[in-house]
Amino acid sequence: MTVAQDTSVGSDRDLLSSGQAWLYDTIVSASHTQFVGVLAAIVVVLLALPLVLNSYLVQVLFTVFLFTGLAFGWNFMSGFTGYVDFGYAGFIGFGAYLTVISIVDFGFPWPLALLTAMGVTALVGTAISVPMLRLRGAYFAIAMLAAATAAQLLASSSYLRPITRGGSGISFFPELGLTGQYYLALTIVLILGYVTYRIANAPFGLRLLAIRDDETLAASLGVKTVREKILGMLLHTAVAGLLGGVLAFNLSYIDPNSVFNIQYTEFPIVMVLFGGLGTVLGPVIGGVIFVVLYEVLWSTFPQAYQFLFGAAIVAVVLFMPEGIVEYLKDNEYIPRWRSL
Amino acid sequence: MASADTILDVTDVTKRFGELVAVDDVSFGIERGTFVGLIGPNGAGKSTLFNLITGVLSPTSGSVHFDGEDITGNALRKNAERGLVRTFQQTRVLERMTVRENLLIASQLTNSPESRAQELLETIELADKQDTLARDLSFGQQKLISISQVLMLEPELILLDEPLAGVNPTMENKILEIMRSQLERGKTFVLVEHDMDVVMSECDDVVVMESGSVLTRGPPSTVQQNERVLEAYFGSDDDE
Repeated sequence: MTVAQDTSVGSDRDLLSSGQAWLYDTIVSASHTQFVGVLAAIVVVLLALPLVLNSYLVQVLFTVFLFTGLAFGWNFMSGFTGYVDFGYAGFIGFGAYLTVISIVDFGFPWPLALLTAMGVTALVGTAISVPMLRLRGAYFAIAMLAAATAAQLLASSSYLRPITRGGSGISFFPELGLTGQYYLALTIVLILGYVTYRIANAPFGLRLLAIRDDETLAASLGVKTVREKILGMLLHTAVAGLLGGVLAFNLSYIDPNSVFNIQYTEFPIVMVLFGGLGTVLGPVIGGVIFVVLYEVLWSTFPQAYQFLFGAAIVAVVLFMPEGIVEYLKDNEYIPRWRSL
Repeated sequence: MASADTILDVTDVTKRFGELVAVDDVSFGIERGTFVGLIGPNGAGKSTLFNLITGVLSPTSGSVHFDGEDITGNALRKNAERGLVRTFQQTRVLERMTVRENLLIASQLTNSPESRAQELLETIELADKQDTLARDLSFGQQKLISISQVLMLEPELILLDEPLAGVNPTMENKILEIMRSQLERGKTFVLVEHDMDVVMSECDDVVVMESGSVLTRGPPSTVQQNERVLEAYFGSDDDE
């Protein structure tokens, strides 16, 4: 964090190392067309990759997309408004079950099943969350964790066995193969990235961030805090429902332990913390670094990867408490734009 | 007591927190376009009264009328929309947002927020810091942001809770200057302030509170002479 905010940007720049200044200046001087060009090049490469990569690497990239998407979804509510949801896996599991049941029992085509999961998870998830939005801080987080645990127990309970098949789960044949899942997840991530970019630059995004900084002050300045939180929650849960379905395709078998697994809560949270809460680049940077680091540690140190992974997370939280993107902005590696 | 030009009417307002009566049967009215000081020792109930008027808290009994309409227990946001705004005793800004964003957030009721924000930033001489995070500003500058935020809402009645506390004389003059110019435009101010020199020289009218009740009310010259005020204000140190 810079202390020398009193000096003009010009004199600050002289103090910067050349690498820092280079990145900053490149971003500031780049035209809109250049940004779009770079983005398009990345997309073309990602589109071509399944043609040349083996299925293990396609699966790794699919996992990057899935978790980056989940990180975007978690960020909509928890990153922007600061209402930290510790029960995200509950919505993901709900979406996975809705998708599989509507395919297996109702014969829905897969796109319709995914849209159903997205819509129903958004409506039901938000309705359940509304009373909890009165709670703040740790109380909200714990209430959401409890709700997710309850959802998992319900899915495995004998009461719902006729629908969910209880603990024995449901196996099915996903019509969409791994390559199809790859392209689907990539498309979803691109859309979520664009939506996040638009929100971050819109008054709506500003209002969500104001709720994070001081909800009472925001209300005193005319922000409809309840309405904004509900809108944030709708986005947050819709993404979980949709990607829960995509996850089910990838697993081709679901049971309460697999799709309600707490890792689907933990990983997106850590990714967004890594990358930067309430930012556009945060979920992407966090998602890529997280999955790549995890894979590398797992394959290199099979005995100690969890310990090393935990240590890496602790280091980031200690040295960059607001995430990589905020760190880069504070130290003027990149401009303080909401678009980044 | 409500006349045609009464903008705020507080009637028999009481607030209890369990056994404690923080505000006890308080009634007073405020004329449009005036600058009213609300004074009293710590714990007299001034901030609680602000909370009751603006909707942070609901009164146990009594009513609050703003511009002739009953707003008792209305939410903070609703009151802000109607033109009744406040600042907080503890200076509150949106710390991780820029100076400019801090003003634009209060834009939902304004037609041209960008130009209004620009105008206010120039008034408070922070236009060159508009892209700085609010947490990186000085305390006094944060106070200026708080006041500008509520002015973004183009309010009629502005309640300021100790806007001058801990502020240097230059900054104090700047804040008073802003208030005077708003008064000229017909806005109404209620000010909680401990600096008696400011209250006595700036306010048209002073309400004195002690232990949750209104002790007296009147123009500064009269209030200053009141024996009970002198005793309440300077005599004992009532912190509860």
